[in-house]
Amino acid sequence: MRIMPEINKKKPASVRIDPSLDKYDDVVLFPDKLAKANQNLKKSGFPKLPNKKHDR
Amino acid sequence: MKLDRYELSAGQHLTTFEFLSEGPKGKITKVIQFQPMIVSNLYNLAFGDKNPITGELEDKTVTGNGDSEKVLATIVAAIYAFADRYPEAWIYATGSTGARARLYRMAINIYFDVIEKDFEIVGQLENEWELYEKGRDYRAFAVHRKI
Repeated sequence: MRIMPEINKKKPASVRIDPSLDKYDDVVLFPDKLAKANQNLKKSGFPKLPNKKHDR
Repeated sequence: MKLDRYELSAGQHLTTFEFLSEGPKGKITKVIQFQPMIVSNLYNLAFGDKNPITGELEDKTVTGNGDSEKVLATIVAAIYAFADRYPEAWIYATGSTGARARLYRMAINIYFDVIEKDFEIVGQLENEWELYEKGRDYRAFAVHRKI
């Protein structure tokens, strides 16, 4: 899958790393859900919002 | 606020997570995946059960383990982990069923005060977006880690 650069590579304390899950990095596990989400976006687009403050 | 939640496992890139839901229906493996969408830096939050017999993933099932709040807290923990690793990402969530959509709305409303401190939250109406307001009936929402 197309993943952006990782900024903070520190392992989160709340998560156990399981290398067996790495095999899903390039697999879309819920393709119908992703298709529906993308379809939703086509209707309204996604707002170009600044990171810290949004205008309505 | 310390929330009761399940132990999360994830691949090293923190895009796919698993945890075990425990209750009257037994131990059910739940899978969370953050999926790149058609808009750059936007990731769809997908979540479902792994069928214990076939291994297939189902995102429309109702597990019935009576632990929805604990499951929600675990999903929130996964969102924090993913957003901390990819602070530029927006995370998009919509329910695959009406029940699942209500579950997500419930999560936002329950944890709004906590989430709002750490995330920007926007809600998707039929054809537009606005800053999230508690109690409104959004078809989807998106969150972004405050930097």
